[in-house]
Amino acid sequence: MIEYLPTPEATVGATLPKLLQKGFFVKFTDEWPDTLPHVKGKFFRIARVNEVNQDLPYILPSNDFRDVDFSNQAGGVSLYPENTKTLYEVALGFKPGNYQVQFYIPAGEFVSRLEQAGMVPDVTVLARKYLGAFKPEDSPYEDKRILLYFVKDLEPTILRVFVDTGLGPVVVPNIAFEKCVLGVTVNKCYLEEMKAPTSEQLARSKEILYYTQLRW
Amino acid sequence: MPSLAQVMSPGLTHVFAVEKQNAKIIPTQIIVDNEAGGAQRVITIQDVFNPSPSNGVPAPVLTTVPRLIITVDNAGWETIAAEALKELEILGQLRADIDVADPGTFVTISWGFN
Repeated sequence: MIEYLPTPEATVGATLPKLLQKGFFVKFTDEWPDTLPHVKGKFFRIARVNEVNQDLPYILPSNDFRDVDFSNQAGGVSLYPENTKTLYEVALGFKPGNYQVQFYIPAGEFVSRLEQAGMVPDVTVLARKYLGAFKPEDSPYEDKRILLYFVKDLEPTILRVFVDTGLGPVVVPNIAFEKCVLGVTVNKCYLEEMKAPTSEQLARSKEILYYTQLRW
Repeated sequence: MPSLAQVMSPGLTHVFAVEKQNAKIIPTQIIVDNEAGGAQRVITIQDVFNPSPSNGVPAPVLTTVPRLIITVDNAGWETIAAEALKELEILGQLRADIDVADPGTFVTISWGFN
């Protein structure tokens, strides 16, 4: 699941922590596939958490991109859990720069698209270059607003990091570059299954959607 | 914030800061002292880095980008303060080159990170 937390217009009452905490409840919807039986349709209490920070820096040329695979497969940056009882809640933010990020899960499948045919992100097409893109100001490094939820064996989540034009002439040899620093906080959550949650626990739980539910 | 002074002697590469991988280097002050220099000198602030492989350039090479060129009169000084440097970003290694090596020319750079 990918979630974006918009900037609050006002704060009323006690503030809630942004990340999942010990004692919180999570519910995985029934849309999770049969290939992920350890979470499909299940309800859990979070027994303990541990936050682990990581930075992913890339110096990329202007008008070019790099696909960053968050999964544990070869070439990936290994931000997926290996234990079926672990949920990784990943908060993602960006240091400032002239770049943007679009999400794919799995590879080649756009998370953000509109309903008109062909309205999918494509950094090589001017009309759709900015479609579904998150820029550094949308999720600052110090105030991460993009949350991703990973469990063992989830399909790879790909970030397309695209450096926009405007940094200088794109000539050969190219001297227009940007340093893109992706800041990641992995909130490791150890899950304890609860077979018969109460209605109150269900009401208080965070629902974890499968990515296909974001793509109707 | 770090600061370093170097004599622009012959036969040396004048690296002021190696790359900090998860940040850009932001020079906050540059002073060129050419009072004892032999002639007018030209200092070039260079940004040296290894780009990451990308879709268009899967095997990138070491890249050097000149970010700032400063001409200093014979027997003169040049000081550039933070206000004039605030948009100058160094992605990799911060290096200063001189047109003609001169043991009478001194460069001092202070910097921070973003």
